[in-house]
Amino acid sequence: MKQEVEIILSEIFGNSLNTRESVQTLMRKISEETSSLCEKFVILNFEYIDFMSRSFADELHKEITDKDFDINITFHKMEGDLLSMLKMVEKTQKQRSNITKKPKFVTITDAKTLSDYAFSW
Amino acid sequence: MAVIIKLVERIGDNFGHPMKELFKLMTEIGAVGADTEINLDYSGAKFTHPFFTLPLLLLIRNKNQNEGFSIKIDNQFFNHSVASYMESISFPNMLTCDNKPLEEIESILESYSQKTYIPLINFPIGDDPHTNVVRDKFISHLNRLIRNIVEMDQINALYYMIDELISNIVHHAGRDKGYILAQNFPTKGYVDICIGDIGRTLLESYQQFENNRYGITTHSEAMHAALSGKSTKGGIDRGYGISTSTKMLCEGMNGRFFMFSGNSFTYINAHERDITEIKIPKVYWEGVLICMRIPHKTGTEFNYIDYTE
Repeated sequence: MKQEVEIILSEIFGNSLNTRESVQTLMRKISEETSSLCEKFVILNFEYIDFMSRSFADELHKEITDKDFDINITFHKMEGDLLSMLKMVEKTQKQRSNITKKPKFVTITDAKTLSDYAFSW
Repeated sequence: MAVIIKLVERIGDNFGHPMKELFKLMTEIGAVGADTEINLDYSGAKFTHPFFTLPLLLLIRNKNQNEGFSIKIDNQFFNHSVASYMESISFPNMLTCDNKPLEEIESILESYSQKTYIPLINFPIGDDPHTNVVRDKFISHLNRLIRNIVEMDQINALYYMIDELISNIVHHAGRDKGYILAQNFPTKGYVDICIGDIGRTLLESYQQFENNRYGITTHSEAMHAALSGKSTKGGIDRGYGISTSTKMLCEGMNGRFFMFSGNSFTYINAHERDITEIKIPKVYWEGVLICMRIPHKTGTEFNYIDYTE
């Protein structure tokens, strides 16, 4: 019989998942909860999670796709934005796109020009 | 005998007015020098702004702590509204997360949950386990505070930008702390957020990464590298924060962005992306200073996920 552990993320982190360090906290929790199981199945419950930062998503993705990570993870109640964020970081593991416009470089040598320029924004 | 420098009485709505006053103040302080005591007279202030208030305090702190200046500020405001507001945001002493239990930090931020601003507060930038936990809680409560003070279409976009910029400050600053001050302007339709530090400049950060891996030699080059997503954290997947946040804010939301580090700054809006090198003595930021103006309303097509790459 499959043994599943459910981890309700909002009970640990509140409404938002913010930092890479939070992922490490989560990994420790997963390790504790599955230490006595033979086959390891974990449900990550995202109910009441409003926001997941890119840093958290990126670090989570790295951890669960690591070749030595032997736990089956299922995401439950993951809203659209959160799932999109996870898919987005999946893409960034392999490729980058050139996203920025070329800036215009300016040099200012006098205080009046600097003042007028700033005031014009 | 002390020199008195009178600070600006009223800061207008245009995005760059606070920066104009900051540059002017830097020039004036620089002209006096470190050998003479300086009193900054702020008593006549009739309207203050986060984009001037936070940099003012950080400028004084850096000058006094690191450059041998003796600068004091007269904050006995004649205007009662200004006096009350400035006291509320903890000017000039700031709130701090230092050496406080988590519950107290949570309680401090919770006490502002019905206000229209985030007060002057610093956050830790170390990466030891305890500091990471403190900062994580701080960001969680900050997001909760933001949700209470700002009603806007894409609140997650705001969370994303603040989170990314705090992460960047934490990584780049290297020393001291990070600082934040924010004010929502419901009738004007935007929220202004100022985040900064007086630690390392972007140039120092890049030059100390893998023996200056990118070969960056000027503050303008460092600014360009940060805006282009060149990471100092290693890995193809790192380094997105500033580049995606500016694109999201300015192209996606029609907001405004200003970043100042060393002798360079950038001003970005939907149509312009300028990097300016300042060749004026003493106009220099020791660390990184970021100011963002975030409109409450975005176009119906805007989805912040599209900008997160």
